[in-house]
Amino acid sequence: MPDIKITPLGAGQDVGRSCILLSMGGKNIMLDCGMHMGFNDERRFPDFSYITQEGPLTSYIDCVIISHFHLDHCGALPYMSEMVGYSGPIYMTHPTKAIAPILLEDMRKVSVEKKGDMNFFTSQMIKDCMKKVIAVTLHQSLMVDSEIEIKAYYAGHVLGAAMFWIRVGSQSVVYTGDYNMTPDRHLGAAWIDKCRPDLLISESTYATTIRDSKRCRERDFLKKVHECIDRGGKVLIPVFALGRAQELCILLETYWERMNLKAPVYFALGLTEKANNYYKMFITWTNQKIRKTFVQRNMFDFKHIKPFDRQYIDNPGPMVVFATPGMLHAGLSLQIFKKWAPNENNMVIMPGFCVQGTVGHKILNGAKRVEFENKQIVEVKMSVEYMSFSAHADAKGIMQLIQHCEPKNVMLVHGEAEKMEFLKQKIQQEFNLNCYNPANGETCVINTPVKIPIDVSLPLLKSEAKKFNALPPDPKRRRTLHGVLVMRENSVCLMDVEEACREAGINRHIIRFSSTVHINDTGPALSTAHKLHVFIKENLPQWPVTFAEGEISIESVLVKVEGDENEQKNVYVSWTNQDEDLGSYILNMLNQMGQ
Amino acid sequence: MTAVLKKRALAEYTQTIQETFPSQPIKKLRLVKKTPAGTGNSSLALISCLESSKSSSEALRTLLRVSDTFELEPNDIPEAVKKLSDHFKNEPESAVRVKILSLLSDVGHLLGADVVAIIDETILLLKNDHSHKVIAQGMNTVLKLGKLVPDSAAALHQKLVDIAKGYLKDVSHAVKCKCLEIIGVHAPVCTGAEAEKLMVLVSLYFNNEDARVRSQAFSTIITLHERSFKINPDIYVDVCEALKDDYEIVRQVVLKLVCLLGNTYPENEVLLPGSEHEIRLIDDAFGKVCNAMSDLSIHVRTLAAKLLGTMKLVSAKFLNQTLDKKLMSNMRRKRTAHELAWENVTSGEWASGKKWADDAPREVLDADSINLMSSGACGAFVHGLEDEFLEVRSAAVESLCELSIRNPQFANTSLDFLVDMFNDEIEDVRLKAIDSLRRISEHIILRDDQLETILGALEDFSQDVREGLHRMLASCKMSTTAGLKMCVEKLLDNLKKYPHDKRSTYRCLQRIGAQHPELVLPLVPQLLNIHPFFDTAEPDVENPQYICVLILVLNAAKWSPTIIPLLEPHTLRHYAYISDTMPTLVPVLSLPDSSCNAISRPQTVPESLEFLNNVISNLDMTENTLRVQTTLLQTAKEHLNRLSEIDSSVAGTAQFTSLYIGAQLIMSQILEKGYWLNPATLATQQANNLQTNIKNLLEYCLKLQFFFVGLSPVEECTVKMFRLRALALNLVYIVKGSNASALAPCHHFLTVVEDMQRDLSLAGLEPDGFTAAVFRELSVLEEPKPGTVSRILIPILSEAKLVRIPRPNTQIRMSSAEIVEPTGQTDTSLKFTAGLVMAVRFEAELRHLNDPSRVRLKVKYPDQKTQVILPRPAHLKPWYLDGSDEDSQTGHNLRLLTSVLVSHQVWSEACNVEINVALAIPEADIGKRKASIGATPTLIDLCKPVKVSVAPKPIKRTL
Repeated sequence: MPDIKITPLGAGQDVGRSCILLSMGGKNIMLDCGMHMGFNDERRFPDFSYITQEGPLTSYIDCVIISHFHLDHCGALPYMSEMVGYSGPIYMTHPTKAIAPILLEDMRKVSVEKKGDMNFFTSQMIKDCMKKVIAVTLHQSLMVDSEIEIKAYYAGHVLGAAMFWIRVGSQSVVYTGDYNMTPDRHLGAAWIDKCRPDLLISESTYATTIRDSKRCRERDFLKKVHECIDRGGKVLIPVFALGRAQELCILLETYWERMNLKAPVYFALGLTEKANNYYKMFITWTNQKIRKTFVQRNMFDFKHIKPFDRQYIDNPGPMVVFATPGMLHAGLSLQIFKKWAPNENNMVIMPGFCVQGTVGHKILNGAKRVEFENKQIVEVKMSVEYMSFSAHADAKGIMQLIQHCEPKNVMLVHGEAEKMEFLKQKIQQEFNLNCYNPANGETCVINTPVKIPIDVSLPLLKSEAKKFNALPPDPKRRRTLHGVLVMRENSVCLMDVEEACREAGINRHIIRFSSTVHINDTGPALSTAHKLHVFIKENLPQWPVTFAEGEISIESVLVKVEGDENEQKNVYVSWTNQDEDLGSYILNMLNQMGQ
Repeated sequence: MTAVLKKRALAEYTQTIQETFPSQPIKKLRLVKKTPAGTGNSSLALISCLESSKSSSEALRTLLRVSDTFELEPNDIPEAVKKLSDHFKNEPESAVRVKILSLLSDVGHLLGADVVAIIDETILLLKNDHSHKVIAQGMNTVLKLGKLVPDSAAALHQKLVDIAKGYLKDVSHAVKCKCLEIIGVHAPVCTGAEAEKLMVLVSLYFNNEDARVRSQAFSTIITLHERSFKINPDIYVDVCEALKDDYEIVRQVVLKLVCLLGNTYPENEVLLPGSEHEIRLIDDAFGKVCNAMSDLSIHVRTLAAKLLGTMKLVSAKFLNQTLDKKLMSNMRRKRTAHELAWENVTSGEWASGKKWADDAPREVLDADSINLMSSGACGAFVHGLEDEFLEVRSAAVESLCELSIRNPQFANTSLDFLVDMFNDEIEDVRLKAIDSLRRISEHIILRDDQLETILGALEDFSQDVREGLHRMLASCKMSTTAGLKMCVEKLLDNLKKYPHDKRSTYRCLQRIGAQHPELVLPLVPQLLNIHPFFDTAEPDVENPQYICVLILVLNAAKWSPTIIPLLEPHTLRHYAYISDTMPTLVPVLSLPDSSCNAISRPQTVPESLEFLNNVISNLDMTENTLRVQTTLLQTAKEHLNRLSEIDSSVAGTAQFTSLYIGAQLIMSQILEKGYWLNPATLATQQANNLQTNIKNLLEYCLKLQFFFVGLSPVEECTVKMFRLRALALNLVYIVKGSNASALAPCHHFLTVVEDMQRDLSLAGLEPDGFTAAVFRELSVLEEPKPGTVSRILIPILSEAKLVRIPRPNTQIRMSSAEIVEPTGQTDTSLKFTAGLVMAVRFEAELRHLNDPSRVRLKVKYPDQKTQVILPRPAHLKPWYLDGSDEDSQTGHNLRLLTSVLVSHQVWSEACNVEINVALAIPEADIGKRKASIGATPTLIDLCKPVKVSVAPKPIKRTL
């Protein structure tokens, strides 16, 4: 039995540092190469020593596929390719290739310059690594080598996120990366066709959640912002640089447009501006509305959203400001927060989850006074709102994807173990599929059925089709094909008998079986033959029975009556090898009749 | 061009007499048109070329040319068919044979072709052919031609079906598809065993290996159903299997079929798979369609969303499931935002909006009880409304509305979802949601929190959205006074922001007031600033905000008598003012002390029609001298004009009649003076007078022709006959009075005569004295040269009497336009940089239009330069007068909402630019005086121009 072996080096029953090793048909493929944001030691990168203790990985890995630019999916890539050593092909989509280096560089700066990490990859390494990347387009089928074929599908989630379908020989796997089954303001929903892979490796971040409609939350968000603006307040929205920030921008931008609002909206510069440029360029990766209207106006060419300058903080009048970072733990967003918090007209909207210990976490839990390191105390009188927009598929979405692509096995990664357990059960119950959720380092073996593709010669198929269609239609009838299986050097081929003989230079020999049955029947032989004809016809209503020159023929079976009048008749029954069943049936019938 | 005109002018007139009993013979005038020689038979000639073509590609080229210029005389058809089929038999290339068969189908569609013979020929040709393409095309030809044969020829249809059955054995999918289509379209209607057999035959192809054949087999069943075959509901199970098909073309058709079966046999029971339960077929089918809402293909999803709306018989249980989505978070039950809102309202406490965890999940769910892929209807609409594609979303909104109209409970649940759709990113979807909400408004009472969210959308920049919301609010019911107050305040606020919405807001508040008198009552003192013991300042009655409040209160007062005593005296005075200036917006109130300002408004009364009748019949009775008659007509015209202002129900008729009388007056004036007979001898002034008179006359005729809708054939013919007379006068004037060529007017006159004759015979009417004389005289005329024609016309014209005025017909409405914006009352002038373009917002209401495509905007600059603008079709929106539906109105009522672009070079001071709405009449008689083509079309103004003061400023050179 051929099998598929999967070993998660990261993201097995865990979120972070996604890295899955896939081996099938003698090929080894690495899916994603991410880092863990929660660790600062060697645990932040996947354990590549699992693959080989020493030396470069190139000879062990045939290709690396990166699903999207989030650091937990691509963060370890320069480390692997430059420091551990890998020179094979790396595949990712165009937007991912464009945006990933920006994020990697940013992360490098933070860890090396701020935290003083040593033994970290350098800017040059990021550049070298990106040179090894081959960019792919959606639905483009690409041969990695003569055997591996990959194809990207749209995954929603963030710009350029893709699901990958990978085929080696007759085995195929779909790896989803992160995906989102509900569209949002700037991206569409994940889509895959009925590719029926042997295995679907799906993320399961929200394995135990079914989400409410997004519209409600959006409306709430907009209403709150609008009310605050109307009463002359300032709105602070701390965001992470990429992904949700763009969604919120689009949301506010269209709302400003719709309501003809005049209050300024600012976006803190930096990383985001570069990223916005890429959003502008990769219009084909966005949702229907943006795609359709970009000819008139690119939605990412924000009309109402302007870059922010620090001195605007003290400007009078209402305004909305997007500022990084998202958890209010440092930087510009915290600075603005300190200024605006004491005014009850103002508002801060937290668009995501906040880690314990951050200012964001404190105010979300209702803290009215926040103390900072330098004994500075800030009264929080501004209103604090929480608005979560998440871009992962929920349990229903995951099930829907499974339904759409109809895999034979499912594997869950990128989620918490106990949540996975629930979804695993559900998948087994409702789809009756095998479901796996290996832990990191645990190898999972999936057996796949043996499939042997055979070439069939066209005339053979055509003649069969003709024969089948000529009969009255019956969906239940079996379709049979007579032919010779010819095995050449490394191909198997089904051929017509005559053709095969000709090709092999063999004269065809036909074996006929014949047998004689004695019948006592007076009268000329012809009349006996007639009687037999009628008899056989009655007994074989499904078959074409012909009668010519005293011989009855059914397919290749011949029945012939010989003998003089008033004598015992000899009935010869003869048939070829192919019609053995029919021939012996008729013979048997004639024998029985005699008794 | 001139050659053609000449030929027409010189053409013969023949007289044909139809001897139909008992009706009187109508004399026919016919312009014989000589067929241009040599062009008619081009196709046949080309077909004949086929014989000589040497190669297949040459033959194909010839055939393509034939199909490009396809033109055959009926008597050439058999020959063409024969030639085509001859070539078919000798043609080795299948592509050529395919083309021949498709040509045969075209030939069959020609008038006068023997369809049956062509079908037989096609079948014969196919007999010995082996190419699948050719057979498929042959079947296509048979299918198309068969449709031309009436259903009564059952034998032929049966024959076609039999042949199709024969070819079903073909291997090719294309042939099979066409054969199945033929069976669907042509199988003679039968019942019982025979129909059953046919169904079974078709259903055997449900599992064919080719998706196209499968799809066609299912659609054949649908076609058969449409042709009133009875479908056996037993196929339902098989059909449902096919919903899992890999191909979307199959799934689409199957979905339709499932829906069809559900709607046809709603009450049949089906067994739920894996259990003993039986449910209604419609419910099961509904579940299946709901499942398709999460299909891979957008087309299937769109179709499913559309079909859901048609399944109205589904049980409430299943219907309510479509909006249900069990939420959970980390295995704990979570409430939806809608439920949260509802709980907040019922518990009496409002959302704090402060806690980030106030939607925190509650009870822990049992893992086994959750069904993630819940089959059936669960959450179908939730999915549909969240879909990525606007096609699906808008279809889902429509279906949601359709289903809600029938089910009040469902309407209440769907309300929240529709309100959510107000926030969609596509405006069309938002508008659709708003409109849907309006349509289901009779079932729902808005809670305050819902009202609040709805009002949030009111600030939308798009006027369509705002007006849609106004309409919606007007038809909704509100539950509390606080809600109503919020609504009114928001509307007033919004009016400040968007002053254009004045009229729409007025109408909205009018309906709100009339619907919620008891809610308005407690608000009256607050709204009108009535203080218990102080007199407050009298508000400005021109202030739109104040008018809004007045409209609201006064409309409520109609239903709640306790309001009136609350009102202050100045409010009552304002009522008098408003009811005079905006009579449609305020009701008639019976005020207690209305001695001083009792206004008796003439309502629509039968007397006015009677009066109209009187006026007209008085005119008929008098057989007086011309002078007396002229005076009579003059008076009648004035009467009618006044009448049209008083009573709207007969206004159209009165205007029509008065216009007609006016035209008659001019005509008789011209005739009486006698100058028209020899205009060449006139002094300049008299000649000019005459010319203007004639021009006016023709313009009157145009107005009569194009400004009215609802004319009966009698009136139409009367108008046309009058126009003929005016044209005759014009022709004589041109022949006699000018040295310009009269050929074109003469030709035009003759064409009009010809048309007139056809119109009269179509309407079955008698020509009047003048027209009859013209017909008679022209029919004996040898050669219609302008001179001779005018010579004939002179005596007829001078002898003919004025015609009777048509009987009043209350259906008649006159086209009119009212320019709402710009008002022309502002003092400020619009400034812009000279040479650049400035947009002026323009809004007009057009009523009772004959043909909306004629509407033009006319901009006239002070230097007498006139621009004619064709408004964009998107800017002309159908406009329904209050309470009237699409069918109950005559003509087109439109609302023109656009911006007029004004541009000019520098002026020293501000000047008025005149803008108005006009009808373009390119075929007008006035423009026909010269034979030049492309001259500016005649425009008739629909209303008085509005003046906009404009000041183009010189460019400032700042450098």
